[in-house]
Amino acid sequence: MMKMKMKMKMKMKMLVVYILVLLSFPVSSSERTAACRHFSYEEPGYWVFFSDKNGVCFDPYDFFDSKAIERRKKLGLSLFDTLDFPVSNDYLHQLGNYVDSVGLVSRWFNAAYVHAAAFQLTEIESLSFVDSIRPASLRLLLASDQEETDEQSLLLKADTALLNAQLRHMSGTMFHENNFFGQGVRIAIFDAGFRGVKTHPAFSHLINDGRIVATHDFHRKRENVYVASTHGTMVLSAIAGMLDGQPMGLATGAEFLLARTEIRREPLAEEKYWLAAVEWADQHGADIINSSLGYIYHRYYPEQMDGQTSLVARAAHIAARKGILIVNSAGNQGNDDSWRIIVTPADADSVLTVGALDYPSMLRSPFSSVGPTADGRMKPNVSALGNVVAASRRGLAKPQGTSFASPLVAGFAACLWQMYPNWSNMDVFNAIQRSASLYPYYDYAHGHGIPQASGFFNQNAGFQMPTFDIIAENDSIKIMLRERIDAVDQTSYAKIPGNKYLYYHKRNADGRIARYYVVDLQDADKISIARNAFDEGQSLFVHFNGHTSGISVK
Amino acid sequence: MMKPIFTLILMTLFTLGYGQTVVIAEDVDQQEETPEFGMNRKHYTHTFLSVLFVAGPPEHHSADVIYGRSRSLEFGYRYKGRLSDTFSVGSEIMGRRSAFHIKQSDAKSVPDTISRDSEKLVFLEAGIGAYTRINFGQRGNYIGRFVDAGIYASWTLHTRHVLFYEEEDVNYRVRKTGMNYPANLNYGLIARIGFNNFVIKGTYRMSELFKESAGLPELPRYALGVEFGLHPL
Repeated sequence: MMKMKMKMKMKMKMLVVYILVLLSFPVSSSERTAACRHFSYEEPGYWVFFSDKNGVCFDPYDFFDSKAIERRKKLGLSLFDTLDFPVSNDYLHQLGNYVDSVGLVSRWFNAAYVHAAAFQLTEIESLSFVDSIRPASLRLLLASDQEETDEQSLLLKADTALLNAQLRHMSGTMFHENNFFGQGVRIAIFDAGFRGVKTHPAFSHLINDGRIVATHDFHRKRENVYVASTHGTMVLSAIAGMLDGQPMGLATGAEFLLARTEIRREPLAEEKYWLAAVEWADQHGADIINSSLGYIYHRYYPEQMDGQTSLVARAAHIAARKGILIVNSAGNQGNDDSWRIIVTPADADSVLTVGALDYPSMLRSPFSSVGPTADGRMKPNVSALGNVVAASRRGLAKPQGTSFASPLVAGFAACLWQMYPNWSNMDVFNAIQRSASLYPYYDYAHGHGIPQASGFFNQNAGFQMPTFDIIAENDSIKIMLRERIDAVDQTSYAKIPGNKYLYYHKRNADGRIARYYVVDLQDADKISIARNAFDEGQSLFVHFNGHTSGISVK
Repeated sequence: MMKPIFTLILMTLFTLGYGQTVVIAEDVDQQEETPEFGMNRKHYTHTFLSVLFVAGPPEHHSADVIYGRSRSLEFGYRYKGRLSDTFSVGSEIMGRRSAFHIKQSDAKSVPDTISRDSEKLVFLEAGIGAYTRINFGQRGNYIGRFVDAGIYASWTLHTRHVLFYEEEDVNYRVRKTGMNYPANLNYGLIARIGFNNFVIKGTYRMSELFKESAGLPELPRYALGVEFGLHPL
């Protein structure tokens, strides 16, 4: 009996403990924080946004690199944009009284990054100069996968073909033939590390000429970025590497800012470094930012990939307003059923988003993320090869991913900007889209297709004879080629990759693509699409061999 | 958002006597509705696997077990319903195999007083559970960090008493089933601290493992271990 009573007592005790545990989680969490303040970096990260910049001083000539001043003047932008003003030291000091330390500070967002527990946030929120607080952790994915070859191995024949293709598929050699190597254009690269850049012969021209003008590791808060990862090394190689005198990217004459913004491959990372790096790049006069990074589901939902929600997308908008062209990889989630949409900041409309093409088919690589954005805008904007030959730590590598499509286009942009130095960033953006192989046609896998340098050198590039006719019949729509592929001049035909395919899509009345197709015509000279395959109000748009045409299907 | 629809192509695209191949066909999902199923959506389900080690003192030293070897393996299927970004509730079904390795001593009394080389009591159970969850930090469609508190109840499907001893240089392994002293129903508390897929888990058994009529002292009530949520990273 005694034993029974004791057991009952014990059970009651445990029940009380259980209820207390249930009720006390938030409290115990706070108490734990208070007791372990010196471990505060374990607490979640938050951006604290301030309400104003009252009382701050700002001298643009002291703060900005001369190239940043030059860019602002060229675009007619004020040198005294309040976005560039520093965050109030007084606010930072006061904020420091509530947290162990204040981390990164964003001028553009007038915000500071802190680690804080719930009770600290409540106190911070009540401060008169605090506008809002926003959680800040994200999952980062480097948009690549790689296959490294041995340091000593020679390029195989297939690799040589790929190396040639990575320049020629954009007719990029035309830039070089006309002496445009991106000279005078400054490109910032945000990546996970640039191991081997200082020692690899593929970058000796950059090192010897002092064209890596600034570096910063935002994680370790130091200048040395030549550590940790070769992802950035390979990205730099795809922009400006040289292999025995042969360019591996188009902008071998450009200047570079190298920012290590991420800690390692696929970590739980934060957008704070990206935000800090974009302001740093602006300060140091970047004309172009190449970001082969993307942020996905640890912080956001696919439906938030609307170019407005993530802080990095908003920062990208600000950078674009300040005249910087941001080139970002679309992401490698093409096979991920839970996240097939592009990553952020590639979702921002002012970001030139680059999808990856498979080699040698020149069609979308299966891993390349597809559009549209969550709010229905076309993405990616353009496409480039997602397989490249790249310099790695010591030897060569054959990485793949949208990470490497993006720098190929960034190099293209640098050459184009050198050619038209008075253009704004959005002029370059639009010209790259217009030059692309499918333009004005687009789909959500390839965007407008592959940028073509030939269009900037060929006076007749804007004129294209129709290559097909669309004929509406009672029960079908016929697409009739004017010339069979085997009859087309193969020399000119092969100049633009992907030309052997016929692209078409069905577009809804609201302008969104409902379905899109790519057809390898082989020896066919026409295709027929049943009228009843169209919904009410849909249109058909077709692209073949440089010509785009459409028809409204009633 | 988009799914390949190669079959649709066959219906809509007619080749007219010439070879052609549809190499890409994508259907753009026009559906605007937010999905309800996902790791941090309204509903989510996943399987899990746990290894728990018996911990804490027995009711009496005559019911001592060998710690480390005495453990439970669980496999279950969990439902999580999202109430807000911070709070969730859920339920689970699970199967559990628990093995208590009884420490041999002169004072031993579970399940009998005979001392052998080694022996263990094995329980196979099927159970259900319910829990409340507090998540930390705003996040997207991702499990993230959490603390769970919950209750469970399980029905004992099978028990066995396995003995190991040596007699006249012969090693014996005897397996007894159909004992009448194990209780049929067990229940207790669950607590979990989770870091996405990786979870630290503890349980406290509130019920008696043995029927009251058996008069056996209770084996340790606590179990502490790890759980792996079998869902994407």
